[in-house]
Amino acid sequence: MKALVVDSDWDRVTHICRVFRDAKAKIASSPGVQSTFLHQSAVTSHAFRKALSDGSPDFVSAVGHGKFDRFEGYGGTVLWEVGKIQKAEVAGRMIHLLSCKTAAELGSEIVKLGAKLFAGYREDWWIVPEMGNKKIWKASDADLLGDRLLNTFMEIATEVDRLILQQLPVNELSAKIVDMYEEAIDYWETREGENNMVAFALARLNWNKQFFAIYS
Amino acid sequence: MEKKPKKIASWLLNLPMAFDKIGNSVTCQEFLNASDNVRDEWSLPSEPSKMKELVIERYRQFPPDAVALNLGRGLKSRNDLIQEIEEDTELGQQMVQMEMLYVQRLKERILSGELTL
Repeated sequence: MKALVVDSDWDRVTHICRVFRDAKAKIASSPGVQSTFLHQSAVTSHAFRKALSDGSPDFVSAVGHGKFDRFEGYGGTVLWEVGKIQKAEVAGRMIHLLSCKTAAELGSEIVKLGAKLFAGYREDWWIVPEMGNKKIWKASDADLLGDRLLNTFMEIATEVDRLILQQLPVNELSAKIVDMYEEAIDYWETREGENNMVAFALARLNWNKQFFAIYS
Repeated sequence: MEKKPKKIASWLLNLPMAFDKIGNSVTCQEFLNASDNVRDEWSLPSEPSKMKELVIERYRQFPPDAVALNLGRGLKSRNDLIQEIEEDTELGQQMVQMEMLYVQRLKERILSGELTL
């Protein structure tokens, strides 16, 4: 199976996602998967389309900012937008966009155009670092990876890729992700010796669970 | 199979999660300690302005340094979010909805006996 892995990695939040995706290597560690990568300034509309046509990926996993009707690459360049997607770009493919809101209009359009599967979030997708606002801007990649709350959010976000590559039935895959969110909330609600940074994160974990969507 | 009750973290107990009959906010600890019939009278507010009040009260108990990031709006500090709630922006309304969804879940878990003191 061929995978196209896209990380726009151009601001703090897209960089955090890239760091965790690289470290967790859920796609690279899936058996029988051959990956092609597009990173940072290479994530342009032209390069994305070329990778889709030349590489013929079966699975596309991409991180970028999103709105209900569009998905963005490096610097906010539009990669996919409702009404402008070519059928050949998505037909027969499994697509996971780690992004805000794209499972609403954009995801529906992608499935209508023949995608085998679409996974994403119908609303904003949030993460909360344990390290707080002062440290998050300058934190090294190692510091980011050591942040337990970020790790909770990103473990679930990246596990979606591994489960898609196992080609589980959609309802089973969705149930596994909901279970992961439930376990994470349950874990943090009962942890002593923590602080209210966790309380700030809990509503966001619950929100992400509520708005995760996968359909085919 | 019935789940064994889990002890709720002490730091979570101080957060407001409902209003009593008179309109004072009720903390998670007070909610857990109350009898079933009292709890029935304590609920999430139905008026949007009271919901905002409850959520802002919760937010003020989060660390000032708390920050949330997303793949749509970037980075928002606790104070940015309080301001969004106060100004009743689209994002502020999302924060109220988000906190209410979580409080509702917490309440259900307390009522079902899954979370205990």
